[in-house]
Amino acid sequence: MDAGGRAALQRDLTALARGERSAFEAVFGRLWPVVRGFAGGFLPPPEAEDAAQEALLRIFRRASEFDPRRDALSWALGVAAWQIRTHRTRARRRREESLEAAAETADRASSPEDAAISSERGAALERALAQLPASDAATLVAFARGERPDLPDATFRKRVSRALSRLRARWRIPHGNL
Amino acid sequence: MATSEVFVAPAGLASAARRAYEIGRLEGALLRGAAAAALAMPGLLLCGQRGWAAACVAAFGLVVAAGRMRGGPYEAGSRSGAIAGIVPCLLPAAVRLYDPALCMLLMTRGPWVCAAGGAAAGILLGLSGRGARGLPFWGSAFAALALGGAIGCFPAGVLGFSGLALGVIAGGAPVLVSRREAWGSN
Repeated sequence: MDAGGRAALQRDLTALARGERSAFEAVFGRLWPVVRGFAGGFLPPPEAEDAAQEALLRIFRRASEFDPRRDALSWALGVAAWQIRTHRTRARRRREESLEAAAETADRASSPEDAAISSERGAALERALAQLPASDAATLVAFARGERPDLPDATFRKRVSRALSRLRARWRIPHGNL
Repeated sequence: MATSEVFVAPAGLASAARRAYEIGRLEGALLRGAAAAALAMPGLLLCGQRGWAAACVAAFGLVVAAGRMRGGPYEAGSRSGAIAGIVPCLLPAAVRLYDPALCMLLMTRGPWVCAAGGAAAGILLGLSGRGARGLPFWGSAFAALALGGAIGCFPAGVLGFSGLALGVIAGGAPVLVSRREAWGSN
């Protein structure tokens, strides 16, 4: 902005601060390109447009507080700088939150390949259990569920151990080591 | 290339900015009106006549807020009037706080407290309005002064208001005339 434009902005913003609504158009016309260019120096284009609009609204909201003894352009850019900084902080937080959310989602959701492997293993385990004697299968199911039949601990541990050995032997034939 | 040729304002931004300006102005007006009413409260609390005086406090705050909202000479007038009017508003309260008996004596023996407050208000208004012309300034200035002064002069009744009016004229007219003459000779 050249010296003439700056002096005109000083005059018009002073008038607007005093409540002369007729100065609105002139102030708006002078400030928008300046604020938009200023925001463009700190932010990428789409964000700069948003931040410049927010800053301009902030400037007009506070226009009545403008002290005519101050330089109008410096005052307006000061308000805009504050608003742009707020916008940047907000945008950074949003990005950080979305990254965290994406990481959590990736952790929680398994890939289709993982799901297929898991499903296949489940089916193979069921087939292997079906080939075991019924008492062994019942012992392993109870052990897997954390249930404890009405037996002494040592007896139950031995039964689990025996059933696991038989299950490993059955599993090893089609799938290799368990 | 000028920046204004590069950046075209989006549609609706100008009207949003105008709305933001009016909202900011309203906030400032409410704040100033509330501050003026709060400043006049001692006059209401210490001088009795609560009903009418309370209405005057509310109207005083409203005139100041409306002046600020409208801006220009209305704002300047209501500000000058409020500053001047706060003197006769608070003077009786200050005297009463110092000595309640003295306040009652001054009020009953003649509207001297109100006249003195009015004279001080007149001088202040004369000084601040020396360059002002037109009904918007003087109308809002006298409205604010009258409402502010009335809060303090209710206990003295009609005599108090008369004293206030005479005091304002006696204090303000000479200052205004002499200032205008000095203004015209320069």
